[in-house]
Amino acid sequence: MTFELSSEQIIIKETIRDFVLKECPRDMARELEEKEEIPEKLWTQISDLGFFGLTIPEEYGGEGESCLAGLVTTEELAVMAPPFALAYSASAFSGGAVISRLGDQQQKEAYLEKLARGELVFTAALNEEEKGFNMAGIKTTASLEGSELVLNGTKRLVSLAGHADYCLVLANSAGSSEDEGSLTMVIVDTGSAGIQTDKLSKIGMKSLGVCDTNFNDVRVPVKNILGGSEKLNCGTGQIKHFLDIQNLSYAACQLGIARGAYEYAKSHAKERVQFGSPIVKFSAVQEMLVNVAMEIEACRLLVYRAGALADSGEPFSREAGIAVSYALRIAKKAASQGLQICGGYGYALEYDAQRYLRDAYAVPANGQTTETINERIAMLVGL
Amino acid sequence: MGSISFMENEKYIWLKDTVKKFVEAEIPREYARSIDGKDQYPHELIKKVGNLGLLGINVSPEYGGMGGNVVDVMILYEEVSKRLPVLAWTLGNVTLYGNEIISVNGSEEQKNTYLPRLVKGELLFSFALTEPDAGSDAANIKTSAVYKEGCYLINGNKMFISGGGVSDVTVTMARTEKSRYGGITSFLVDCKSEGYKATSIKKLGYNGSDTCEVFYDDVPVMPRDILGGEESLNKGWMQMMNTLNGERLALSACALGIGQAVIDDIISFASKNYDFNNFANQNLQHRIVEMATELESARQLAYNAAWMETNHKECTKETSMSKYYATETAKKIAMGGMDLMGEYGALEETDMQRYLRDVLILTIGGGTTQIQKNIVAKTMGL
Repeated sequence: MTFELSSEQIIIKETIRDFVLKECPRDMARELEEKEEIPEKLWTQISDLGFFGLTIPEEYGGEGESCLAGLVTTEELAVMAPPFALAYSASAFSGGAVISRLGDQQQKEAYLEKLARGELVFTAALNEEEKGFNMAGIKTTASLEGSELVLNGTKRLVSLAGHADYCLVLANSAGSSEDEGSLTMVIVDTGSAGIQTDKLSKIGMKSLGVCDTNFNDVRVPVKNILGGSEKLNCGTGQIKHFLDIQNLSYAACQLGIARGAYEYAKSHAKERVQFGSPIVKFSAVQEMLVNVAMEIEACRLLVYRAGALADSGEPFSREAGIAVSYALRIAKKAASQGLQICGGYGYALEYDAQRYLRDAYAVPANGQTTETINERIAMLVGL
Repeated sequence: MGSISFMENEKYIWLKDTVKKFVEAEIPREYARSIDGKDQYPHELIKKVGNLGLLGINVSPEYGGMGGNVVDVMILYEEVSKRLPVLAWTLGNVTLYGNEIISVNGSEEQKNTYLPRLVKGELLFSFALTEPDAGSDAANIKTSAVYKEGCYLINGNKMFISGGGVSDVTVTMARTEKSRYGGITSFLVDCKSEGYKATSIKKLGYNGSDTCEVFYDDVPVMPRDILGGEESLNKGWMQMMNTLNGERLALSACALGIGQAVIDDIISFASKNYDFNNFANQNLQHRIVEMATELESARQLAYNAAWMETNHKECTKETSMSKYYATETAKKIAMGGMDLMGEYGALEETDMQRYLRDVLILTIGGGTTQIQKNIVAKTMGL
């Protein structure tokens, strides 16, 4: 059981916590939501502090390829500003961690140094169906024409619309949609001709931006296949690894949201006086807060352990799945209980309790639902 | 004990059917979404409900009403909440805060003055009890009414007042004596009075409810405008107790409607996307069955309590249980619906996220779940 934070990781946690308190308090998070934007200033500040390099090896300008350090960062950012945490983790995980693990030499050289400096934004386009992500139902096609792949199809609910420079697209490369084994993951420049986006709106995570994305004869050089051109039709294994990594980051984000909601409700309960006493002294209120505190503690252990396993090179699919399934559940619960504790003030848009709830429900989770995640866990635990 | 088989009654069946048809004809989903999106008080729809005579649903025929009871009100609220919860809420500005308060506690003169006009849809009432520092601890209100030269002057402010800006009359609970419960008086405040100001509060759901913070700056009220007349001075708290069973049941009905809407939408979402001849989807089936079962038990609890209320049995315990259980159950169902729909449920173009946003106030407003449990505990000798 090696999931204690190292002294270095503890410093990272403290640094990002101080940074968040100073540079991104709740007032600012609220303002960012109204403007629906990812603040350039914050982005630059955390780049300068080196946080984008946490998941990237030193030889490519990173800090040493630690998922755990990236998760700690995501968690702390999400306590105050959940959408910013997700934007960070998209670059640190979908970009940095994924390219470090699955990219070839040329891709590592092309993207990692820039990612480590916070100069690139990555996102992923996987999901196509209304019911959620389904690997067997990928209809977006990638056909090989000479040294190019030609992409056609529609991906739904792609995050970071309007921000991302590159998008990892999962496509069916068999030439016919019946052959489910032939998937390919490809790195697509979002400026490519033939990409059309249709902006959508969610109840939360507003500054992140979300859209449906249509690929109409989008031409991508085969060298942009994740891991290089010889990885054509190797997407099935890659996407599982990719989802595991993303699950880590979504779990960390939900953990941070749960903490943010909990801490907000706790401070309200300490200040709010009814019947001559701060309501935090009422045992029914304590019981709600204690349960959430326990769940946060358990969730943190799950998330950190999964991250530590990922860093040690061990398999971590099962642990990442359990962490994200648990985190999705407890964040929603922490947020709804936080809202209840804040009462009418919890329901008013002027205050933050309801924002945590909206954000918790809008975490993309790649179009997975707790049901589909649990189905995967069922497989991994041998059911 | 009653049984909700009493609902198998021609009058109730007719009412349910009438409201259902009204909702289908007058509130298409798109329209419901636009009221939410624009945060717009549904004046038009209230007028249309009035055209059916339903604004007088719980008013005695001698004042032009239909002479119904709380069961009728619940049927109306439940059916309307399946499509547009905020319409049920805003109908409260007539049926609960107007009809009910005046019918139960008003003087003969007040009944004659207000009830016929409420029934015709000419008046909106709001109810102002909660203050910034008096929420669950409602008897802690500080808003004062001081008698001076023939009238009372009201000063203070009220919080989360539904319809506080659009109303003609705000039933205002103010302190006239120090005594915690025995020093509160209920005033019928004309909202056009000088010194009355309402500013709207933006909130997570129930958009269109015109929920306001209300400020009173030397607002003058004549003694005859004390609810129940001059002799009801300092009787405000007791008067309010008389209407709480009805309010808890009406809110239970709102929750039942939202819970049913979630289940209906989830069934159509699941049927479209999943094959239920496959054991792989058994868990999903069972989740939906659990929702439906819990909602049905909430419905039985609520209408049984309503039967007790209409048969003049003591039912503080049952109505409080109902308010707690129906609203918490509906909240759980809405959260479950969001889970089953995943990220799609969070899109603003779906109704699922609106059901969730709306339902979350029901465990807070009208006495939180925690307060309902306190009340039930007392009735059980705890």
